[in-house]
Amino acid sequence: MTTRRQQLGWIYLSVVLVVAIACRFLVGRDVLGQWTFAWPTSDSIEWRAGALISAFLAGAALSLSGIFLQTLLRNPLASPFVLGLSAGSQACVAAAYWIAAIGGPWMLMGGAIFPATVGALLALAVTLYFGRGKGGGIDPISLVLSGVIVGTVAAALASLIEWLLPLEMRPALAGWALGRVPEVPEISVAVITAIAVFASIFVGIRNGSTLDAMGLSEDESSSIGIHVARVRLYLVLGSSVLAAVATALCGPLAFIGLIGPHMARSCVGPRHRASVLAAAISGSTLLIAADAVRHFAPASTGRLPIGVICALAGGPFFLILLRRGAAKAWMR
Amino acid sequence: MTLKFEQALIRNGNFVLGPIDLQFRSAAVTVVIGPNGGGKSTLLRAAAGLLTAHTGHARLQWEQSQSALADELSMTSARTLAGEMEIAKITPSQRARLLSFVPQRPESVAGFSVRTSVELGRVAMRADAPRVQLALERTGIAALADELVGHLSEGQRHRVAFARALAQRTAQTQLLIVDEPTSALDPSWTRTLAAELRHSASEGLAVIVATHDFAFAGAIADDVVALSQGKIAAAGRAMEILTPHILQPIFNVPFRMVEHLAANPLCLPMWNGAINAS
Repeated sequence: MTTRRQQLGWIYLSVVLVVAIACRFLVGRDVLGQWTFAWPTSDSIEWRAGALISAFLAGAALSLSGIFLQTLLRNPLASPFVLGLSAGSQACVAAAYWIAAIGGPWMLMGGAIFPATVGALLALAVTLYFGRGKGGGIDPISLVLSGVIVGTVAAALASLIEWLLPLEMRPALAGWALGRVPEVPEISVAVITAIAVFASIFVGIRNGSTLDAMGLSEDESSSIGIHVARVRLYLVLGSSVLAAVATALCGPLAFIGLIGPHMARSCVGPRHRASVLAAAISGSTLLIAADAVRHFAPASTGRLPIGVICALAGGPFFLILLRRGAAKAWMR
Repeated sequence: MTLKFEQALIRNGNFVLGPIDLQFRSAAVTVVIGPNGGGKSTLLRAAAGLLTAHTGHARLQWEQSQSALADELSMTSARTLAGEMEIAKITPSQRARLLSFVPQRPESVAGFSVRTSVELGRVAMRADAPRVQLALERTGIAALADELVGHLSEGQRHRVAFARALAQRTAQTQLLIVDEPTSALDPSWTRTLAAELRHSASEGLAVIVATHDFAFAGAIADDVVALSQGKIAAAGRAMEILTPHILQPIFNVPFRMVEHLAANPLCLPMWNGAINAS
């Protein structure tokens, strides 16, 4: 990838981010339900800023999780949603709510972050276990299949637990389970998400070449000096924590973590030195834009859950990747 | 420095190689031959420290005069003595300085340029642009440096992997291990590769190459190891091993001496006349 093309890519990413932020900030609905495009009034300005921060952090976290999973598995179809991490988080958070409801409020002391992380790690472990090919290597398509099933089962578990909850606790959890960008994010969750995002960007850029080398076969990467097992462990932990914090903040959102890394690579090339930061920006842009689009939807009885928009936009993207044979084109 | 297998038993999935006793000389090319499934790749991966000896040892040994080298690789605390170390126990960064390994089917990210892919050889070391350039030129892919790896043919991608191994070379490099390099290669690159392998041996490296190509083996080998069903069927100087009476029972096809090249006899499988169509 030429430097000039890369520069254009950066400019494009920045412009799109700014446009998305401007849209989300200026678009709103007045009391009559009509959508407006104007500088927010003093009472809605905080809400919009809060939503922007939430979307910015969760989008970046999902996309970073996606790029780390794709690097770990050398599979461009990998993402926290497709591999079941998001649903795993969702199920564990629902379980934590349930335990809290039947007399263990300590379960939710640190917000939803802890159960979300446990859920993401568990889901990834199960997906990896069943996604292995017969020879011990990981087959890209089996892995995706295994992830989809793990995700479906985990989401069903989450629904089951929701159903067991006392009635008054259900709406909050149900709204979150459809995906929402909170206008007043829980401070602890937002801060931990921010730390996870910025630490990942920093570490990812610092170790860009190491991540590049993970694209080779295992024998090749270890013979050029990569401690493959160690790097894999970091990638598993990093991608799980990132998926978990994003889910704790915004609920299980589909495909942001899939499209973000692809958008980043097509703009600035596949080297991680550049694509890690670009993936974070892309993910933020996508989620902010989806949140802005949500306000245009003619919903007289309330606003469209953001999860719906993510799935509607992201699903076809995944199918196009599949059609193009992306799973095989990754390595050669 | 020598690489020595002593009663080494190596497991690779369900496959078991050994126990074997072998020694790879420095400044020599050792060619590993044998039928499919004989254990060539297992032996090469063990030599690269990518597989651990289940029992026995696969060790690097160095003389007192080489202790400075061992020191530089921080492989010993006894700084002045001759020493040895299990090859599978060296750390990845030591491994990168000590050896290069080119697998049978190299893989790379399709979106990387050729130059980027070659530069990865130095990921654990100081970047060295002139060395990368030299590696690109010696493998004849300098003109393709800005192409994407995904656009290359299989043979060209093999050159990229070999160039990466050359770019990885340091003053401490002792081993060059190449697994079945000729299967996807045209004759001209095969010739270049043969010259590069000989050149590496002349620089003092122990070069280990697995191949099914007997003309190639005859042209480059100092030593030959023949593996069959996980055991050493024959090992020794190329001139002694590349002969019909040794090769025929191992491969179960007739061999014939064709011609005496400069160094080694050319001993080729001669099955063409014996195909039975039914």
